[in-house]
Amino acid sequence: MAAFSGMLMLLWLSWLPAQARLAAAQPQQFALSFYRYAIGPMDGRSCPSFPVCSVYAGQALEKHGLLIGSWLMLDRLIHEADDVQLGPVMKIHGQERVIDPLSRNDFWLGT
Amino acid sequence: MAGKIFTCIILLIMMMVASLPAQADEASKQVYDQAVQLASQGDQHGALTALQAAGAVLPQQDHWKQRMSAAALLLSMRMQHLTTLSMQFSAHDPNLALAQGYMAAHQAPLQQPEWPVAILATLLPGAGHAWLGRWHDAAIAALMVWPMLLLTLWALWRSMGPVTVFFALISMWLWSGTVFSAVSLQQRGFSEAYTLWWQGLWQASALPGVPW
Repeated sequence: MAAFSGMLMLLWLSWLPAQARLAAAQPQQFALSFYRYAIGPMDGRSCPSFPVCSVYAGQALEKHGLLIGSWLMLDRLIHEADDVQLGPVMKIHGQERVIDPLSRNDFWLGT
Repeated sequence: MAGKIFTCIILLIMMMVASLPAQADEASKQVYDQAVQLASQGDQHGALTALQAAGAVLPQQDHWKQRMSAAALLLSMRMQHLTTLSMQFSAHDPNLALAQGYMAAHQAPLQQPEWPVAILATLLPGAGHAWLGRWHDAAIAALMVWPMLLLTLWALWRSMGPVTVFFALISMWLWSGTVFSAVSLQQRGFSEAYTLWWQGLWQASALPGVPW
């Protein structure tokens, strides 16, 4: 079973574009790459914010490391609920999206 | 013929003299615009220095000097987190008098302590967001933590060993994440309200440009 899962994983990695493969090789980015290239295309555009949640999470993890980066990721998932109604919005491809860059939420961390 | 040449020269000199203030005006405007642009890019010190230096060389009655000194004062107030303006400044400057009027009509937002939000979010997942009036966020935070917490308690009750530890770690991560989120939203809320207040103050003082 483990060998089969491993083979499936290798198959998925080989199917990814080169840049994504590099990102997926980093432990912190693996889950994000898996979401972005395996689940995302099936899930469709579900994130109402800009930048989209997977890009935001990647930036947060890269800048703040695993713990605080993952907290910022959770924070984005939580505060989206009210930001959709209260936050600043802009139209991208005819769709209203909440402008919520990392700098809007991590400025107080002082890094 | 000589009279016509003389007249032309006089007219030329008059035109040059007439155009001098306009050029100076344009130069002052450019310096002002560049300083405001610096401020909008986050370089408050650079903007302040540019405004003070340019204001120092302009004649006393120049209206750009007045604008520059008013803008420099507001920039330095923002840098020092001051939200009140002394009457001695606003008495002789129309821009600052307008700013004074805005300050009298709109109280600057005060930063609330973070500990009530942090404590509430720690004691009861979702309560920190509810305290901030973000009810949808509170529901999401509660939905994130409570099921995982119940799962952990269930695993503990069933003595499931490593599974309990795994669920407990996930619960702790989610729980601490919701506390972080509540504190972060309070910080963001204050920061955005504070910036809006300063933007309103700048607009009300009738100074050109958008430094923040």
